[in-house]
Amino acid sequence: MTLKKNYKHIGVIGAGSFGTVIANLTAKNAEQVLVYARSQYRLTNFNDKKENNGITIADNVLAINSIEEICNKCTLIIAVVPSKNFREVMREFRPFLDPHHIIIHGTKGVDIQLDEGETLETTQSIKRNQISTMSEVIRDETSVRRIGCIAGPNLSKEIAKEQPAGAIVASKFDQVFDHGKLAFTSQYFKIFSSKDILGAEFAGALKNIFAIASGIITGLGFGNNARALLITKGLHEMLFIGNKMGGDTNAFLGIAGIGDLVATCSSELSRNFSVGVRIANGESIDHIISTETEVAEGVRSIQIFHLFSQTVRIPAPITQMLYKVLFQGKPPISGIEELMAFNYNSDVSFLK
Amino acid sequence: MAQNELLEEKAQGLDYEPIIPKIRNWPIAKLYQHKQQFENEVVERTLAKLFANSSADKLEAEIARAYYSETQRIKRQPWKADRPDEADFWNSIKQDTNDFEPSASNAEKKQKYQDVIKIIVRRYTEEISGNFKPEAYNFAKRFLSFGFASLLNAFQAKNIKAIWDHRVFIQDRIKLVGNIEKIRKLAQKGTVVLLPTHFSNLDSIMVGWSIHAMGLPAFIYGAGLNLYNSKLISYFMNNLGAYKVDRRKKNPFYLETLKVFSTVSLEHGTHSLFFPGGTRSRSGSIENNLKLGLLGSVFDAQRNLIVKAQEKGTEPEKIFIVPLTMSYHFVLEAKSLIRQYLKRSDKEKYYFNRKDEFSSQRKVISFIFELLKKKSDIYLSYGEPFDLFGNQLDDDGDSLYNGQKVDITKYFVTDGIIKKDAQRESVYTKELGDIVAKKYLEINVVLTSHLVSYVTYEMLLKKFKVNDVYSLFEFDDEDLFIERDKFLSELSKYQSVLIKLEKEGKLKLSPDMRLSPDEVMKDGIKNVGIFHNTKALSIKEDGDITSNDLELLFYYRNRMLGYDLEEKL
Repeated sequence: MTLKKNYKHIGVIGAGSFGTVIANLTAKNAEQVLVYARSQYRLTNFNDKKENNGITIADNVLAINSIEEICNKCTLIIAVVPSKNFREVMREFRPFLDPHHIIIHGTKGVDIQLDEGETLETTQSIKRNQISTMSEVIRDETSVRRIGCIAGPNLSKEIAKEQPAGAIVASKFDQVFDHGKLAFTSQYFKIFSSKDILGAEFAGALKNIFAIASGIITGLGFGNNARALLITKGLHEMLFIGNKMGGDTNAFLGIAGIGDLVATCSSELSRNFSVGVRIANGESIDHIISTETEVAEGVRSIQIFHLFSQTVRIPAPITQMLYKVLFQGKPPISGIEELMAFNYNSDVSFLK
Repeated sequence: MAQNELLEEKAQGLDYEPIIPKIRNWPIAKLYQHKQQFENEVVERTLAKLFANSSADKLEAEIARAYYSETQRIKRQPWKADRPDEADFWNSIKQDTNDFEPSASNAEKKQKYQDVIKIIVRRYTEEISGNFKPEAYNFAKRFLSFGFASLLNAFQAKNIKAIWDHRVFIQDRIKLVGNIEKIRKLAQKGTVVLLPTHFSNLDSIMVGWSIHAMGLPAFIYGAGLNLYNSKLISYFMNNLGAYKVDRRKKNPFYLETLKVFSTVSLEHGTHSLFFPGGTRSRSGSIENNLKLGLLGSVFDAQRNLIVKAQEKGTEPEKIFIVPLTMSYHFVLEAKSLIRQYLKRSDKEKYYFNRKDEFSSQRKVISFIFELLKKKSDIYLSYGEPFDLFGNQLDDDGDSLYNGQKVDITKYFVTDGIIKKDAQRESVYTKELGDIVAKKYLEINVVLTSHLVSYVTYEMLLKKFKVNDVYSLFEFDDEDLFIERDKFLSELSKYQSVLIKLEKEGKLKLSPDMRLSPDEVMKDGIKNVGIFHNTKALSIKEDGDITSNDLELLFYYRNRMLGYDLEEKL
């Protein structure tokens, strides 16, 4: 006897590691999961080899390259696209989306819109209105309003092994949260709710910065004291920047904040963490990027939030230090020395 | 500057033909022609909402609470406009509620409570409901169109001729800005909900006049019951389509009746006007935290219209949102409003209550007269219409997002069907409030007096190295000045920031804003709060700029908040 599934179809945009994990997770609750894939390579992986990025694909997951078919068949669509391409992808989907669709995204990064002719390397400043979270991008580009974000300590490789894990689905709409719960919940995956979608999104984008720092600390051979210091001060910095961006404090103290920060800063499975390790070992950032198949969102986040914190004049010593190490040739060890010399006023200043 | 010319051009010529020539064919006239039927519908639908999923116990508790708050109100806050039999009415409600046999079953009790609530809702409906009389409308129209001379005679009939010589016409002073043609077109395709900013009690008169000048039929709107304390105003309000809103009554029966009243009139195609700020802006800044109560009724109405259309197999009637900002060089009530604001910020203890300037009818009328006599322009800036979700509209009223057509019925769909989802619609309502607040800033026409006040205030803060108006109060009047040269150079910096913002479509500037800094300064100082006893700003003999009334300066300066000008300098 087969149990009736919650959904006939669920759509997934993004065929990378996390997209694959999401497809498998939702496949437990849908008769069929449709993954949008553009390249023949991904289509073959999903449909013929039934394996993608080392993860076995569930039977009822099908990759297709028709945007129209996904939008027609699925009310619920999960978007897991790198932040850099997110806006462009939403533009492609725009003609087929309407206000009844529900989009939950799992992208941990932000979108930036610079003045004409400027790049992240050349621009001198970034203001809040130039930075958009993914939910803001969806809202900007499409007529979809029922938007949510899934965030939490979700290392792809652990979820793929069906180890216990959980995440929040944050949305202003109860309906979106209800769908998130129906779509993702399984015996080894738990969903919590939150209304603070902006906070969850910024927490997700910012924690990658500190994962890189944590990788550097490990790469330099330092131990748990140093990492614990980093995580605590990192959370502090995240909150500072996040509040300035308009996020609430709560999300940062929950699983999308502390939870995700601890997981990514402690695990060598994390992509951002391994970037940090390689930096500590003397590789240049350009070289690392050229050898990685998937983007480490943290590198981009460092560039963006380094500029943002300078523009709005808020202290962000760890982000500033990382920028110097990654992009201005500062040796990692002197970066750490700089942090140790930084004049922090007090231990905790965000709780009132 | 092309944009500026556009503003000038649009501010002229107001000869719009009425879109519906015969007053009796106006939606509002039709609504009140069948007043009884309309009120019955309001009562029935309010009751349906109140009775949904309600147990006998819950109904009883709600009646008891309403009884308590109403009898307290009658005792503590009586108004002239209140009906004389209020105390008796609530006494009889109390008796009725307990009027059943001790052995009565739960079902019998529930029936009893429902009957009682029905009586309450019926009474509230009749109380809220207004009327619309073409004669009253015609009279008001003439009154506004041909100046205030005739009315002024009644009040100050000393020298009729002198007044007649100063005869002034409202259309010479009020500049209408915006895409009027489009609003006229859409008013024929669907129902318009007009959302103005609220600075002064004068606003209703200004909006009323502009609606007439644009050739639109009269709008229905909620007016505070306190305005009905005056007989003259009460007569006009009662017959020009206003319905009464009593802010003292906060019990669920009243609030629900009010909401349904608005919903039903919208569903009947009656163009409506809400002040989403709720009350007049106390601080003088453009409202950014909008009261959403009645805005929610717009979503109810739109959803119901869609359901009705689907049953009939027709295209749904649509509701269109039109934001409106009003720019005045001076606001009669500024002093009492800003005092309330400062007092509320609970830093100041010395403030005492003062009578609102609008409490004297005579003062209001002479104020209007002065306003029109002095060359002080008023701008009414109408924004582009959009649907409830902030989508643009084409001339046919179809919704567009990023140039692509959007079917608005889809916003209300759950699992393939149109369904009420109160939580979802509360988010939509809040988002609509945010959109309107953003539009206000964009369509706001900045006047010279606003900018000059802003610059002076900011410069005073810097001069004395303080952060707020309370700290400025501590300095002596003779120290509160800014040197002319420094002022002009600062003013010119702000001018260029504003011109840049106008190019980006983030605000609008009155034509005077393009004059030289010296002329802007003079015009602004001449006009700011022209009617107040004390001067917010004046030029000293040595040419320096000074303030004789910091409260007023602060009030007019606040009009520029929301643009983050300091950051952009």
